[in-house]
Order: sequence, then structure tokens, then C-alpha cells
Amino acid sequence: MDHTAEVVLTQSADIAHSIGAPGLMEARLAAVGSEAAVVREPGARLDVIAQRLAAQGEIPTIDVPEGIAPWFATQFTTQLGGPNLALGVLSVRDELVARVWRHRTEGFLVQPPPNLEVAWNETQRGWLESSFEPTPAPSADQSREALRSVAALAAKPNVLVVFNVSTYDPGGVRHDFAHDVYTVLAHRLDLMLERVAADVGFAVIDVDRSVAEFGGARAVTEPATYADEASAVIAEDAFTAIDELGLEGMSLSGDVMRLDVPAYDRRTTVGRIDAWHVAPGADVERGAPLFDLTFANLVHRLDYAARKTNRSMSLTVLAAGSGRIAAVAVGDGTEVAVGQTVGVVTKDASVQSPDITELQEGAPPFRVGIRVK
Amino acid sequence: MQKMGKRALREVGKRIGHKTRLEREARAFVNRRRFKNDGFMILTDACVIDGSREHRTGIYAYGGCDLDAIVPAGRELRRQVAGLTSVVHVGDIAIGRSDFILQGLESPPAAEHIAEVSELLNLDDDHFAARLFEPNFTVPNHGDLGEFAKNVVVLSIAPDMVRTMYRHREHGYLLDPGGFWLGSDMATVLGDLDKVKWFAANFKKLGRIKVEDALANFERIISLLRTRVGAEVLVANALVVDPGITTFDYRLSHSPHTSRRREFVLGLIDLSRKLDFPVLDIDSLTKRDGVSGMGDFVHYTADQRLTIGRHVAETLVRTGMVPTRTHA
Repeated sequence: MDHTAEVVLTQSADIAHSIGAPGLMEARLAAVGSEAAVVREPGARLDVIAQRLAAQGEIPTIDVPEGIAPWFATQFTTQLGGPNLALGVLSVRDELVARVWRHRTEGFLVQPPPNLEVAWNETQRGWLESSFEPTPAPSADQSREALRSVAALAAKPNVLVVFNVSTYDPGGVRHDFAHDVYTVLAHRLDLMLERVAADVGFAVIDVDRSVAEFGGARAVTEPATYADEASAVIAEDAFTAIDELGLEGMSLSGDVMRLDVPAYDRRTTVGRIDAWHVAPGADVERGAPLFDLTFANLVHRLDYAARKTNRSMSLTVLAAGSGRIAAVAVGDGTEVAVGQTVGVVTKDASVQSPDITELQEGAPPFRVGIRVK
Repeated sequence: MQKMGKRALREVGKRIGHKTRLEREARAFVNRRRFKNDGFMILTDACVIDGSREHRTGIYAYGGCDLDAIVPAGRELRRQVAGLTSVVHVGDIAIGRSDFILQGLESPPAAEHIAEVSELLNLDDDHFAARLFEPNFTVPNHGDLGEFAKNVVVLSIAPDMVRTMYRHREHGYLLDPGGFWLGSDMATVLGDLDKVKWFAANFKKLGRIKVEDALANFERIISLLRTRVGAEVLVANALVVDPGITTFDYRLSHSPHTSRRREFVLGLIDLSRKLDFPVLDIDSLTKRDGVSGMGDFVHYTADQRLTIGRHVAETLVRTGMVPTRTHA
């Protein structure tokens, strides 16, 4: 990758709080020796991004109130269409939550900042309301057309990745879908994205799955808005996904990962490692058995009031990705707690094998699966 | 009593063999005692709440193993429902696809045409029967409780999402040979190579059902359940994402599983609007508490079964599908 290569992050809230968090992408790139520049652009609805690509920096000449000219310029400029694009990151989140306005005579679109009431003064807001009219939220069909336009206008659509949205609505689980509630709109949008991605060649960052694994009740604070802890998980999943795309110079997921004891459900808290299937130095692929685990004295499944039963559950912990077992911290027969780090996995043989005590705080978890015996 | 009963049953199982008639009877005896003492019993595939025999309510889930999660609803309903109430799950994934369900009613295969396959695949006697459309049911192994009307029928679209169907080459009837979920090949399902060869020679693979065909079938099934059985209907969707699998590169697949499941979820919502029935939104329920403990998208953890059961109970009460003590 030459020195002008660019990683463009459109900072919708889901991206801004995960891989777009201050310094994070820069640190990942530096760690792999990449000199790519990180460019952060305001997040936007897809029709606004398509407009940015089509305008190619040509900004309409209209009177703009003092103080917001730089913002106005961002509505017509983007590096996503540039020849040096190494990775472009977008999200469909703004299709659901953003407010976009259309100029009453010229017809172009603008997306003001989400905190408009605070960020802009009365004059600026008055200008917006007099010169522009609000547009309705786009349908999935309109979003599809906008996404196709983005793909057509981007110089390298094959280096674009797009975040989908979690369909989980923190407002509650419904049984009545007479109206287009958030969950329905989010499913439609995600389905649209998957279909266009298949046709055009985008990669999709499956935020819906990341949030589902984390647990929507903890992860989702408002529709399509994620808590910090969940955003960190989304970031790691996104880095892994970008890694697996094999884009030049884009090896971004953790080189050193911790291997933790997984839970099966709330019944399982403390278990015993019966036997390891791998030793330090072993290379593992997805699906490889790592260790056998037994949870004894499960708490009663219908009564969690610390009532323990004489039931036990045995399972095999499987690798959900590939890597090299760098260290194993506990031996066969050791009692372990759910969440305890029992090993270290490195990305491959080229990575220096750390001792478990040297494992850096915040090292990402190595993904595992469970097979109940 | 409960612990003693379980211990005794384990001993019975050891001595006379599991799944024997005698063991079933012993199990039923213990459960009857428990029911008499506690006014409530929860079994593997059923849950019964004691109450006045004047009010009897039957909640009947039919089809895929995901509907096992309906049974814990009985525990949640225990203090709310009026009268004798049973929640039963019948069937398995192999009989849950919508075209197979309709075949049982509209074009059941002749007995002589299914004799051989029934023997080779150890199918139940009523495997091809239209059990869903019978108006009443009994609690398995507890016929003494009498018949329950199917006041509420719970169905799932999960079998239509994933199951592959076969058609008999000569007689034209449909069959899902079953087997453990998705990972099994036909050799495992059928047991030995001769059976595989026989099956391949006699059945043609039809593959998965089109989403629009499945939804058309569901529309017919729900209408029939309302008119013939007089049942209220609740239909479950399923988790859209694959736990533990990072699906991101859609360039490699033009029909990823998640997209197909989303099509089903959205299609079911459209159908619920058209026919006015509630949807059991398993996708959201499982996502709420986290899906990382799931082995696959449709086998729920103990926690999730409780969550689903609780939600089913709430839905049944809120929609007035079951009579509660205040209304009875």
C-alpha cells in the first residue's frame, strides 16, 4: 500500500462508537505497519452519501449562515470516490434515524447534525427551515436505490463495508405488528442490504448478530444505538470481518487473543476442564475441539434462587476461528469460572507468543463455540 | 415427593428399560401423584394446570422442536388461568413443514404406499395423519385427564425455513426423512447404505420451499384451523442470525441463510396483518438476552425457553386467547 492510501469512516453513531472511535483505527493500522491515512466524514443517509459522490466536491453557491459553511461543504464532498481508497466504511443506520432536508428550489439534500437544537443557533435553524423542507424516512426500496447509486459512484465498491443494524427494539418485544414498528423497518433494511451486497459486492458488518450475541437488553440503549461495551464487541467483529476480506494492508483484528471459559446459560457458573484437546503450539481451524468442560451442580433451570441440583452438563468448547494456541494456563481437572481466561491464542505462528500473565488488558476474546455432549 | 419420584423413575428405567410401556406407565403414575398434590405438572412435552373441569383450555403446539419452548408457558399461566389447562407440544421437525401439514389433510398417501417407508424409517403410525386438524387432543400418557379442545394452536415457520422435502417418485407424496437437525446426511438418518440406496431410488429431492409458497400454505392452514378446529392461532418466527458465525461477505452467497430467514420473518408479519393473528417474535426474544449459548439458530437454552414461555403466557393472556380467573 502506498502512503496515500485512505481508510474512510463515515461516522454514523454506530461506526463512530466502534471502529471509528478516536484513535482506534489509527492504532490498528499502526500496529500492522500500515501508513494509510484515516479520514472521518460525517455519517449520513445513503442518498446524501450518493449526492456527495455525485457532486465530487462541487458545492452549490447559495447563501449559508456564518459558522456552518464547513458543515455545508461536507454534504458535497467525500473521499469514498477517491482513487486511493483502501477501505470505506458505511452504515445503513441513518436510514432509520437521520433527518434529511431537501432544498426547496435547488433540490439537493442536506443532513444537519443530530443535535441540531444544541449545535446550531436560531439563525442557522431558521435558515434551514426556510430554505429546506424535511424529507420522509426512506422506504427500503428507496434505500436500495441509494445504496446502488453509492456502489455505482464509488471508485472501488469492492473495498466498501457496510454496517447493518440490530433489529432488537429496546421498547419491548411485540406480538402485534399491525404497524411498521422499528423491528420491521430494521429487518427490511437489513434484508435490502444483504441482497444488494450479494449483487454488487459489498461486505456487510453483521451488527445484528454481534448485538444478538451480546444480548440486546444490555447492548441497545435506543433503536440502532448501542452501549459502549457492545460497541467494543461490534468493533472487534468488524475488525475480524475486514481482516477476512483480505484487503491489502488491512490486517486489523487482534494478533493476540484471550481464550475464556464460555457459559452455556445462567445455570452454568463454575465448571471443570476435563481435558484439553490442544497443546501450546497447535494450530486450530474453525470447529476444532479445544477442551472438554463439565458444569456440575447446575442451578435449577426453573428456579434461580441459588437452588443447586445434582445435574451436570458436559460440553466441548470449539474454535470458532483459526489461530495458534500460544499458551494454556490451567491443566486438566482444574476448576474454572465462566469468563476466566484459560489460554492465549495468537493469530498465526508469526506472532510472538506471550505468557498469559503478559496478556494485555483489553485483548480481544478468541471466539469459541459450544457442543453439548 | 418430586425428588423421590425422579429417583424412583430412574431406577425403574434402569431395571425395565427406558421408553418401555411399563416405564411410561410408571412415569405417568408418578406424575399423576404429583399433579394431585401440587395441582400442576410439567413434563417433557406438556404442562397441565389443575382447575375446575367446567373450564377446560387446550394450548396445542405442533411441529418443530423449537416449539418445545412453548411448554414452560404453563408455569407462567399457573396463577392466572381459570380451569383445567394443558399446554402440549406434539410432533417434531420432520412433520412441521407447511406443505407436509397440508398433505395430511388434503392428499394423504394411501396406507399401502407408505407401509414400506414407515417400516424402514421407523415412522409413527400417524406420521402422515392430519393430526393438526383434529379438533381435540389428549395429554400424552395422561388420557385420564380427558380430551381438550384446541383453543389455541401454536405453529412455527422454522421447519419451512430450513427443512428439505422429498417426493415419492411413483406415488407423489411428500416426506421429510427427519434426522438430527441440519447436520445429518442421509446415511446417518437412514442408518445403513441399503436404506440410503432404497430412499434415493424411490424419492426425489425437492429442496427447500419457496418463501411465498410457504406463506401461502400458512394462510391456508390458519384459515382451516379457524374454520374446522375453531382455534385461535399463534405463529412463531425464529432467530434470523447464526450464533457464533460471522457472516459478512455476501459476495460469496446469493441466498444466505440469514436473508432467507429475514424474508420469512417479514412475510409472516405481512400475513399476520392480513389474517390478524399474533406473532411470537422469537427473533427478538432470543436477541434480548443474548444468543451466544445457542448451539444453532433454533435450539434454545434453558433461559431462553423460560423467556419464551413467559412471553407466550403474556401474549395468551393479553390477547384474551385463554380465559383468566378474573374473566371466567
